Amino acid sequence: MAHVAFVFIVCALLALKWPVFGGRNTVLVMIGALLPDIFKLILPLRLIGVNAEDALMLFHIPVGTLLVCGLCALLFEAGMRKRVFLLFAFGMMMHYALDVLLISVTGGLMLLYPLSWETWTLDLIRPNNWLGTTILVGAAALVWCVLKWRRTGQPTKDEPSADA
Amino acid sequence: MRRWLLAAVLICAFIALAAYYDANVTYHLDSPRESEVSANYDAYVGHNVTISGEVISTSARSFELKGALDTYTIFSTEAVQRGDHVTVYGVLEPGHQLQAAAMAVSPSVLAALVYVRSFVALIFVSALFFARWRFDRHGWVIRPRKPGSQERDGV
Repeated sequence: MAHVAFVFIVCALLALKWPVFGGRNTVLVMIGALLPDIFKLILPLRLIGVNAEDALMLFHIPVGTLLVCGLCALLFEAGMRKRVFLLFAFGMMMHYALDVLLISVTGGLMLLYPLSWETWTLDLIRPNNWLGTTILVGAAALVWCVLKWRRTGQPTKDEPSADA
Repeated sequence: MRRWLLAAVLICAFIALAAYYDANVTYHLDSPRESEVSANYDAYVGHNVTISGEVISTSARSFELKGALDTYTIFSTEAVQRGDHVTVYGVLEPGHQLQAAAMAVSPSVLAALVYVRSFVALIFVSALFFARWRFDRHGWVIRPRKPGSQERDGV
C-alpha cells in the first residue's frame, strides 16, 4: 500500500513537468512498484507446506524484477513496449528506494546480484511501521483531491495526449 | 513470433538466475538461517545465526520461538508477547538456545494486516489498470482502453 501511495505522489509531481508520468501511465508505474512483491507468493505456498523462499527470491532482486518488467511489457502492443518497460522499471526503482530504508535483521537488499552478493539497508524505518504508511496514503489522497480540484476548476481544452 | 522468442529468452534468463541463487545463497549469507542450522546444528554452535518464527511462550529473560523446523529458547530482555512474529539474530548455543543480539518483532495482528493491506493495494491497482487498459484476446496484447484520450493527470 505504501509503495502504491508513494508512486502516485511521485508520478503526480513529475507529471506537472513531464506529462508522460500522468494519465493511464501512472498505473503502469504503480504496477512496476508492485512487481517485486510477487515474492510474497511464498506465503500461500508455505500454507501448503512448500518453502520456496530461495527459489522465488529473484522476484525481489532488481535483476529479476527487471526481467519480469520486460516480460510484462511484452504483453503490450508493439510501439508502446519500450515506454511501458521504462515505466515499470521506474516503479520498480521506487519500490527498492523505499525498501532500502527499512530496518533489516537479515542484512537487507541484494541490489547487485548476480554481480555481488552484498546486501544493503539504511536501517531507518521499521517494516511494520503503520504511521509511515498512513501518512503516505493520506498524502496520496490529498494529492488526488488537489488534482481533481485543479481538473474540475480548469476549462476543457484540446491538448495532445501524454499517454503511451 | 519475435515477441514469443524474446519472452522465452527472458523466462530462461529468469530461471537460470533463480536456480543459481537457490543453489548458492547459503554460501553468501551474512548469517545462516534455520534451514542451514537444522541440517548441521553442532557446526553452527558459537556462530551468529538468524532464526524466524512465532513466540509460543515468554518468561522474564527469555522466550520460546517456534521456527519452521524446531523450537528455540531465545535469551533476550526485549518485550515480546505470545503470537508475535520475531526474527532474531544472535549467537547459537547448545540445546537449541540463542543469545539475541538484534531482533525484529512484529505483533501478530500487524503481521497479518501487512498482507491484508498488500492485497487491498493489489485489488485497487488492478481495478485502476483495467479501467484504463484492456486485454485484447485476439492479438494477446494489452491496449489503451480509450485511444487518443485527453486525460492528463493521474485521477
